[in-house]
Amino acid sequence: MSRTRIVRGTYTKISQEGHSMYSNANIITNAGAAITETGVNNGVTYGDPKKPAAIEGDYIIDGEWLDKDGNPIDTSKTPHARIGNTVFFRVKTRNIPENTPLSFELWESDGISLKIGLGTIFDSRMFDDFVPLEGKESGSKAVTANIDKDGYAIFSIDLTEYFEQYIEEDAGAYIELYFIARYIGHDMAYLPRDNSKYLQVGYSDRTLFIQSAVGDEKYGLPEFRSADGDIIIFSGGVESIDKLASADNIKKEEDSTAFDRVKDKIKDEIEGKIKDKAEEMTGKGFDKLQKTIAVHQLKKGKLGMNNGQVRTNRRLYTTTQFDNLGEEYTVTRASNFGYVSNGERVTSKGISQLDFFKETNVYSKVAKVGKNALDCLAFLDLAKYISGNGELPSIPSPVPGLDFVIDIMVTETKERIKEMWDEAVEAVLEKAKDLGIRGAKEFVTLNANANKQYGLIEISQSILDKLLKGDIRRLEQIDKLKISENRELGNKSRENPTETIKNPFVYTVLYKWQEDSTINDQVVVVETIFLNV
Amino acid sequence: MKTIYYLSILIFLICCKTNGNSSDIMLKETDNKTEYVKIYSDIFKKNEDSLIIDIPIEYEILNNSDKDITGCSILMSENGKMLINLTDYYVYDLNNKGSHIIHKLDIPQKAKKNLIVHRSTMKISKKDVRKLFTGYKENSIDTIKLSQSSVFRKENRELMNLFNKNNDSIVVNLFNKNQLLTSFRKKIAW
Repeated sequence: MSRTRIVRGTYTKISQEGHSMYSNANIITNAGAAITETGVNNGVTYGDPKKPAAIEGDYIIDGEWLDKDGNPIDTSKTPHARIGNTVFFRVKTRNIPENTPLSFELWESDGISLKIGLGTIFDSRMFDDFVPLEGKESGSKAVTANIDKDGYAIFSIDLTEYFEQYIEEDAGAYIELYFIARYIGHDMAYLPRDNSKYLQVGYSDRTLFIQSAVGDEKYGLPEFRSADGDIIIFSGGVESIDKLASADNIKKEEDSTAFDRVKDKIKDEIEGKIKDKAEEMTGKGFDKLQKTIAVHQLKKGKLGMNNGQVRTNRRLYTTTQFDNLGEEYTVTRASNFGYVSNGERVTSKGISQLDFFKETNVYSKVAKVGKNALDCLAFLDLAKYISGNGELPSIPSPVPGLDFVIDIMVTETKERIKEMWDEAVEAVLEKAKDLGIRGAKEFVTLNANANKQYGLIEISQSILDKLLKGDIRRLEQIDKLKISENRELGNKSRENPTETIKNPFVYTVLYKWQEDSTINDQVVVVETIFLNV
Repeated sequence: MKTIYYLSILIFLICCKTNGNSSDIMLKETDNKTEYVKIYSDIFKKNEDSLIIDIPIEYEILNNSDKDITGCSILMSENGKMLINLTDYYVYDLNNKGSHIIHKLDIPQKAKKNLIVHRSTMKISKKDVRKLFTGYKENSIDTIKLSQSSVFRKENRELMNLFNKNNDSIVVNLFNKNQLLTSFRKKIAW
């Protein structure tokens, strides 16, 4: 192996400590003008110099990009990977001790490289961009990975929407990524060494996105509504049986929209509540602690007042919770309001809405929707979590899966949604959604001739599971799954002619089509999922 | 004055050209020769007093415009209530029956395509089924295959008039990428 470094200007090397050159063959120094060698104490010595270190050279051999399954990236297709994929990078080293940390800086190649059979003859990196890794606001903004016993270092990179900005800035349809690898006391290495193996990253092939119900990173689930249009929100929580069962649990809160209250609390509840409660309850009747998933239903209307009247057209905030025996508790809150009538203050403040309505159909209806609503999250295996076979986890932890959902739902979607916001249409849409499936159907029909198309499709639990898991990346996949499930149901019906088959398509998905200029294609955004129960 | 005159002609011509585009796409119902009327029980409601009747309708879309048709949305309604694709109805390419038409539809310029619409939730009372098909056995689960769709509609005017009271309609929107080329709204005359 040979290495030639050509420098057009002056080449200066400065070492803090010593500088040694060793060769098993000749060392040739040749100058067009003078050669000057200066030693402060001793002059030039020839013959029997100090021997070099006995170890063989340690170095980075090469690095390569791998796909999510650990196989080398398929470089025959362009681009090699897309936004939304997870990729790995593996580095092969020689003689670097185990557990030595290597640092990797991610760079985007914009340079020019000329190669001939003998190797690279010209390689300019002056236009390359450093890609600081997302979330690393301070520090080295680099990845660190340790060498394993076999001399490899491996780590993963999530190609999130963060990388889109680099594709947008680039002239082409994809960017090419490589690493500069360093380890203490050695030269850096550009990896992969062959620049034709740099990772080409293009825009996402996902054209189906799910709009978060709340629109910020605190709540990652889509908007679920009952068939009548009530909003349903989920959160994790832990309460003691005694506390839950009591209607006195209703808090008196300052006026704010129910939605605001819910969205601000979701993440805190998920992350902190179980842990705090568990600590609080340690040694104080831990067996009374119940794991719960709360189904918050924002109902319209029916607010009891202190003069016995029932006011309508306000939103109630109803929380249905389930303990591990399958028992269900519902607590109704509302944005309190009041007015003065004939000199008397009429208010909903201090009125237990649960007590007020528990004799009415409103209450039982809420409970019904609450229990069915929980099926939406079946893919998280929450049934097991809630029932827990009557056992509590040894280490209290946040609700499994919800955090995961938050991650997958929001990161890929939110920037795209912002660009598509059409205030006038959305305002009408919100009113339509409040009317439930009926309103959604009317809205779709009204917009039938517009450029922005809305659509509805009825899906089953298994399709919803796939959708929420992030396994469905295009609307056509939903269509195909639906057709296939229909076919299977037809076969099942023919095989068991007398058996009544339950209609599994209990979720109605409202979505919109939209041109996305970034990828020059149409994308589909799931607006709302109605529970057809 | 002459300038205004020529300008008016120019504007008129431009207008004609613009309007001409969408009117160069045609949608018409055609006599279907391949599909048969079928009656079967609703697999989710087997004990109901009614069955499902599927009377296929064929439409021909002719693209004489200067743009390719790349996408579509096909909406149907019954008594003013929107029906849902893949639940209440299915649309196929006549020449490729395995292919459902949902959002994608490729009709290049000067080409045409024939679509078949199947309804999957249109009800017919068992009483009417007995009139149509004397061999009908109560609670039979077999699909009853009747005559060709166009023949059936001509031969059973009384029943068709009954369906016509339902006020069924179809909306076909045709797109070039995200641009709406034209929209057709047709009442279905069974």
